This record gives sequence, structure tokens and C-alpha cells, in this order.
Amino acid sequence: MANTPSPHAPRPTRFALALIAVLALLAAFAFAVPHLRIETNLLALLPSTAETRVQLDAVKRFADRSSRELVFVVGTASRERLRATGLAFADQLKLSGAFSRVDYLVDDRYIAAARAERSQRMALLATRHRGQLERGDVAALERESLRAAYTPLAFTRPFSISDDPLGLASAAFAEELPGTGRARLEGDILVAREGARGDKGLGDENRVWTIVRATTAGDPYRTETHAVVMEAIELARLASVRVAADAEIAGSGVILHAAAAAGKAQDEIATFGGLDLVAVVLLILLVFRQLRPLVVTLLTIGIATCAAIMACHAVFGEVHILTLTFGTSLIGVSVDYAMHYFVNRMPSEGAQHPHNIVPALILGCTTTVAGYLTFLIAPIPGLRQIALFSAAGLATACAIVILLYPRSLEMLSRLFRRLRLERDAPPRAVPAWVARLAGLRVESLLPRAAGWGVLALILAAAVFGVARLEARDDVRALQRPPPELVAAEQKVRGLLGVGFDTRFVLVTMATPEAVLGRLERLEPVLHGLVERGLLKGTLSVGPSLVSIERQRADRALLARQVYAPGGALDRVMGQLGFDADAITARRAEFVSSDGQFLTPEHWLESPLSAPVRHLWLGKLGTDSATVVLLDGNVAPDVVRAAIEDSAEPGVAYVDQVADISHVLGEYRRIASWLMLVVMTVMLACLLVFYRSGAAVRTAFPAAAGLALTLATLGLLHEPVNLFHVLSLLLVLGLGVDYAIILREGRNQQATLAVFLSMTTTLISFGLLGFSSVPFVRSIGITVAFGVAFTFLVALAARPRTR
Amino acid sequence: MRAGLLVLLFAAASGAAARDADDVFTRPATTKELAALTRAPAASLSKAQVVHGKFVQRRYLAGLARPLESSGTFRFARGVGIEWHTERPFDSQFVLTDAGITQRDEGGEPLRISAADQPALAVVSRVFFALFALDLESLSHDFTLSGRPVGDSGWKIGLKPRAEALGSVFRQAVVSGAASVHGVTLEDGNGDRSEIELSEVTYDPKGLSADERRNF
Repeated sequence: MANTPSPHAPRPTRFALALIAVLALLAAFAFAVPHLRIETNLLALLPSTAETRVQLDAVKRFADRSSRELVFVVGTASRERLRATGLAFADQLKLSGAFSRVDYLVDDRYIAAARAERSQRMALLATRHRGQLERGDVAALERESLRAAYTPLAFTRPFSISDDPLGLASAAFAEELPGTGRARLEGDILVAREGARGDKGLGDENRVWTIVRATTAGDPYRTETHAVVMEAIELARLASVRVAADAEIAGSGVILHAAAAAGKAQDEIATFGGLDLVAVVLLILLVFRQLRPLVVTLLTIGIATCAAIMACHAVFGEVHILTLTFGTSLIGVSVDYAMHYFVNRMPSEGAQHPHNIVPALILGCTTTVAGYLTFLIAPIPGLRQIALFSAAGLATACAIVILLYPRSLEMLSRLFRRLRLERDAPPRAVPAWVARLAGLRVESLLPRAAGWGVLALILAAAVFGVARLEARDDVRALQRPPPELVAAEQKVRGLLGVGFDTRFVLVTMATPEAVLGRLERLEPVLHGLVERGLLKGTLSVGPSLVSIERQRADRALLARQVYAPGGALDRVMGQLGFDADAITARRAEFVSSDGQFLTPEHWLESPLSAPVRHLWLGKLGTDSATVVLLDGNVAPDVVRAAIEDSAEPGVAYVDQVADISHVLGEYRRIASWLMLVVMTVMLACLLVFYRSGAAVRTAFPAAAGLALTLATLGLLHEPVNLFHVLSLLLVLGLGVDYAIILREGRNQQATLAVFLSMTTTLISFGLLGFSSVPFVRSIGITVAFGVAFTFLVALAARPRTR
Repeated sequence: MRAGLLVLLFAAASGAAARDADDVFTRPATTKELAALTRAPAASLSKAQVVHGKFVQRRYLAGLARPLESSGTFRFARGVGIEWHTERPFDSQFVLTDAGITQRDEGGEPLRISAADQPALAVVSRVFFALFALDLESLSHDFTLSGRPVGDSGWKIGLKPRAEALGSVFRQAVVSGAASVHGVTLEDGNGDRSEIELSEVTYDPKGLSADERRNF
């Protein structure tokens, strides 16, 4: 290695340029902070599994819409107070301004709209009536109409017999509105009772519940929205408690998850970041006992973090909150370069002059950054952001140490002495315990035979552990909602008796009319699945919005069998005793509505579309799309197969959870192969630098560390996923440094530097191991075990003191 | 001229009915007051598992000179449902339970409507249940109640829906009776009116026989 003369300071121009760059970065950061977008949507971390651009947009638009929807159940034991309790809750929500819509009291807007839009809706038929007319079984329709006129059946019809003698409009209207599940309309509120259908586990049987729906006004993934919404909900809960002291609220909605996850992440960032900093400060004070290293190191960490955030902001236009959680590990890793620098200045016996550590710093930084860059192989936006964040932060920290340290330390030294903050003392020597640690050798601790025995034991444990490894690629590795949220959601679902999940059917076609046509062809398939008990039901725009083609066909059926002279209308009205004028008026109404159709534009403006409007995605680029929700999808594989088998182009079964799990598995396998490739390449690189024996010795600790980490995961019954494998790649990047530094540096300083580096990394990632986010935890424990093992092996296998 | 006279008579009759109804609705009452008013049938009801009897229903529709008249038997079984068996002008069995409606006619497929699919239907069934069981507590959730005594032991209860949502199904209803419920007049949102007269109302402390239960 070429040794430049001490103190290895870069040329003044380079220092000046670097200083300007840092100041520019800090200025840019200060300017960008107000515009910084903190993303909290966990889905944004996930890979897209959509097959086409339109599908991708459709899934995104639907997710955006549904993530704004909230359903609350408000419960009390007092049925008399239920309405007022729910009203207090709903009114307070409205008052908060956090919601664009709050629905509680049921009014007659739907039937009023159906009456007002009668002429557009003349050709709409209920499925049952369409079937009767298609079969030509007009007699059944007539019989049903006559029966209804004489029996209580008429009471169920929103249109009067005079206006709708055949009950066609009433039936179409009834079919159009989605059911209320287990909830019942009582007065003007929806009421659900616990255990009404013999369900168990819903708790207090005497409690009655009413239902409030709300739509969030702000972006559900902004932390500002979370604050407003959560406060509004809490105030509304208090308002309901004032009406009924035993009032209880349970809510269900994506924003509740987002808010919980974001809150948790903020706590973790504060806790992990704070503990990390405390550990770093303590370590520096313990080892160096000087003010300068502390100030300079903390500044370095700060600048590196700014650079990391700015890099994400520039590339992604946002910083994900989990990137920041993960980013707390930057503190522990970026501090390494500064520590190496200060350790290197420590005098120790044998070597009085500091060594040129620049090549070792560059090599170490390169391998670590390379470790993070392997995260880029998986098309998972979250990992890419983490990789960019870490790589940018580390490169910055390394550059600062190389380019700015020597000169700025001299300047600081003068400043501190003038301020009497620091005494003019030579750097502290390497502490005595490090010298002892550095002097320790396995050979001197254990007799040779015992050494082999220990090695054999470790090998056996490793083989046993690795043999027990199992893989689990589950998207749930990415998030685990808090149990109280899951319980509330189950309560809402149980009370509503409806359980739409994340799987749905997407229909995309060139025109809205084609979308509706496809949807109508899909209906029998879905109906068949419901008949077979594989689905409980479906929710789509279907019964409410009908293709023009179907409206034309239905109109033709009506014209021929119902409204033609001597048809069903004449016969039924005649038998009931209506005079010719009344019959003529009804026929004239049908005839005059000729050519009027219910179009998607009309429909979207009608109050009648409200319950399913969010399922109509409308125009996406040049295409149009709609979504069909599946209720009680108990056998997703069969349902998927049935829909895909019968599906024509444009129909897709979307199961993001399964698709993403599949992607995670695929990339776990790719990353495992990559790990072998990386190890080979690494060995090749080291072979170029060192003699073959030394190269193997340098690569060995990292490889052994990986094997031991895998074995530990196996022994701990921790199923391995993509995140573990990628963390092992990171361990490789971090661990090779240890061997390089131990090899390149002077013995005592190198031992201290590697020990400090390992300790800070262990603390940072060990803290991540306590994260509530499963994938952050996976990375945390893997890296923590990995660096610890690698350090121990590197120490045991290091070359003899030069 | 004849037709004109008929219309005039009909208008007078319905006018009288409206005045009659208004009279009831001017006296809002609490469920407690109404319970006192209807204590005679309530006492019989409290012991009965099944109430059965005969009915005559007349439905007055806009545009029809004559009401549509039907008659038959009814059977209300506590906690089970109502069987409304129309015998004239044709045979049709209408069964109402908490889960929904089933209508069976000779010659046709039974028609089933689930209450979960049609919220309005559940309201209808609850109102029917409450009327026959004189469950004032339950009725008070859906309706504002009013009432007055008629004669020595008679009474009349008026019901107006609390919510517009119900207004399209029922505009108002009047239940009248003495020792038992005598009749119900229902007016729907379209201005159609149905009068149901009950007779031979029997309160049966025994539950349904196995044979009767099969109908539900």
C-alpha cells in the first residue's frame, strides 16, 4: 500500500470544495424540509404485481378511494339512547371538518331519486323479472303482480300499485340497493345486535349497535391527516359517552391502520435514534475522553442523515416513514469512519505515526455500500429507498472523514483551545483493555485439542441450525397491525355481517359500455360461485348501472310482452279494475321514455349510485375500469381459478397479498443465489489485492459469520424471508470491513476500530430487532447476529501481529 | 253522473277517515300512557304464545273505484313469525319471519325475499310483528306514537314514522281495538290505503303445533 506522508491531508482546494458541498447540502436541506413528504402508506413499500399499466392505475385508484372509507359501530346497552348516542358521534365527526362525508341517519333520498329518474329507469329490470320475460313466462309475472295487490307483499313495494302495477320498478329498485347485511333499519338508523344469529364471541349480548360511515377529507397517508382524524374520532367518542356513559366505539378503515403504523414508526424513530445517539456519545466519551471527536462525530452523523434524506427526496419525491425507522441504523454505521479516523490517531506502542487509512476507509465504504445496493435487486420500492438512504448517508460520512476531517479538526482544535473547552494534550493512547483484547489469541486461551473440539461443536450446531431453516414468504412480514385494531375490525365485520377482503375482480375495457357488457357476462360466473357456497356475495355497480345493450334488450322484452296491447299490463290492470285511461297513461309513460337510457354520466350524478360509486373507476388513460368486491371468499384458489378460467380478456382476479408473497419468494431465491455470486466476486477482488491465503483469510470471517447467523435463525425457529437474505448480504458488506481493517491497520488500533464499529452496528441493528414492523425486525436481528459472529470470527482468525 | 257521485262519496269517505286519523294524531302519548290504554289486550297477549284469527283486508288505490278486498286467516307466533293466509279471492300463503318473506301460491314457484337484501322489508316485518304483539316499545323506535280512548273500553293508537326513510313505506297507521286488536289502517307514501279488520281473535297460551310450525 502506498503511504503518503503524514498527516494525509487532502489538498486545500479539495477541502474547500468539500466544505462548499457540505454547506450547499445543508442549505438545500433547510430549504427542502418544509416540502418534505413523509409517506406512511405501507402499500407504497410493496412491489406492484399488476400486469399492465391500466391495471396498475386501476388498483391504485381503487386503493386510494377505499383507503378513505371508515365504518364505525357505536354501541350502548340502552336502545332508547342508541339513536342519540350515534347522532352525537356522527355530529361531532361532521363538526371536525376531517371528513368530506359522514352518513348516519337514513332518509328517503334513494326512493325519491328512483321516482324522479323514472323515465331513465323505465327499462331497468330485476334479474328475476328479466329471467321471466326472457323465458316468455309472462304468466308468472302477472300472477305475482295480482298476488301482491291483495296480500301484504304490496307493503314491501316502494312504488304504488297504480304507478307500477307489475312491480317492475319496485323490484329493480330493491335489487339496486346493496343489502345492509346483519344491520336492520330501525326508524332512521341502522341497528345491529350482538349474537342475533347465534354468533359467538361478540361479547355482551344486550348491547345494541348503530352504524356510522365516514369518508376522510385529507390524504389518508399524511401524518397531518392522521392527527386531525384521530382527534376527531376521540372527540366524537367523548361526545357519545356524554349521551350514554357506557357508549363504546369500534372502527374499521385503512386510515386507522395507517395512523397506528405511522404513530408506532414515529415512536420507534425517536426511541431507536435517541438510544443510538446516547450509545455513540457514551462510547466516544469512554474511549476518547475529548470534546472534539464527540462534536465532529455528531456533526458527521447529522450531515450524513441530511444527505440520506435529500437523496430520497430527490429520487423518490418523498421519504417513507419506515425508511426513517430503518435509517436510525445509519447512526451506528456511519459513525464507523469517524471512529476509525480517531482510533488511528491514537498512539500505541510499536507504531508512533498514524497510518494512512484512506484506502481502508474507501474499501470498507465500498463494500458496505455494495451490501446495501444489493437491496436494489428486488423491485420493492421500500427496500430501494432504504438502500439509497443508507448508501447516500454512508458515502457522505466517508467522504467527510476523508476530505474534511484533518483540516477542520485542526481548526476546531484552535477554536476549542481559545474557548478553553479543550486542553492542549496529546491524543489519548489506546486503552489498556483494548491492548489486552488485541493481544488475546485463541491459541493462547485454549489448548489445541480443545480448540478443535470447540470448532467441531460450533460446526455441529451450525449444521443442525441450518438444517432446521425454513422459508416463509408472507406479505404479512411487512406489517402487523396492532391487536386492538384487529379486534375492532372483527367487531365491525361481525356486526355488519359483511367481510370484503383485499381480493377483488377488476374489469378493464376500452369503453364504459364494454366494461358493463363484460361485467354482465361475468355475473353468471359469480352467481354460480355464490350458489356453490364459495362466496357469500358480491358487490359491484352491476345491478345499479346497466349496459346500454342490456337496457335495449330489456326494453324490447318489455315492449313485446308487457306494454304491447293485450300484454301483461293490460291484463293485470284490467283484472285489478283500473279503467282504460289509467292503462293508457301507464303505456304512454313507457312509450315516451323510448330512447332514454341510464348512462354512466347520469348514474354518477344520481344519489342512487352512492353505495357503489367508489367501485366505478371510470376513465384510466384511454380505458375504463370497475371493481367487483367479493364477500366471504373462503376458497380463494377455487374462486380465482373459476374466474380466470371463464374470464374473457379484460377480467382479472386481483389478490395483492398472494401476488406480493409470491414476488417475495421469488426474490428470496434470487437473493440467495446472489449471495453466492457476491461471495465469489468478493473473493476474486480480494485475490487481486492480496496473496491467495490472505484473501481467503479476509473473506472467511464474513462467510463464517453468515453461516452462523443462518444457523442461529434456524435454531430460533425464525422462518427466513427475503429480508433476512438481503440482511445477510449487508452483513457481508459490513463484515468484510472488519477483516480488511484488522489486516490493514496496526494491531491495537485496528482491534479497537473494529470493536467500536461492531458495537455501534450491533446497537443500531439490535434496536431495530425490537421494531414492531416485522421486516425491520427481521433485518435488525439478522444484521445484529451477523456482525457479532463476523467480529468474533475475524478476531479469532486475524493474522499475527505484524 | 253516476261515476261523479261515486267519486264524491268516496272522497267524503276518505275525508272522514282522514279527520278520524287526525284526531288520533293530535294526542301524542308516551309508551307508558299507551300501555295503560291497551292493557286489556296486552294482558291477554302476555300470556299468549300464538294469536290467530280471521282478517278482511281492503286496499284503496288511487285510480280504482272499488277497493281490492281479500280475506283469510292469520296466525302470529311469538318469536317465530306471522303466517298470513289469504283464502279469497285466491289461495296464497304469505309468511313473514325475521329473516324475510316467503310467498307460496298454488302453481307458482315460492317467492323468497331476504331481509338482509331489502332493508325496507325488515321494517315492514317488524311493524307487523309489533302491531300484533302490541310491542309499543319496539314501535316507538320507528314511530312517534299517539292515542286516545274510544268509548268505554276501546282505544286507538296512531303511528307516524320518525324517519323519512320509512315515510315512503308508511305514511301513517292507526291501530284500533278494545279487549283485542280490531283493525289496522295503513297509509303508504303513495297515498294508497289498506284497512285490515281482524275478527275472532284468539289468544292461545300454547305454542304452535308441529303441523303449524312447518308453514314457517
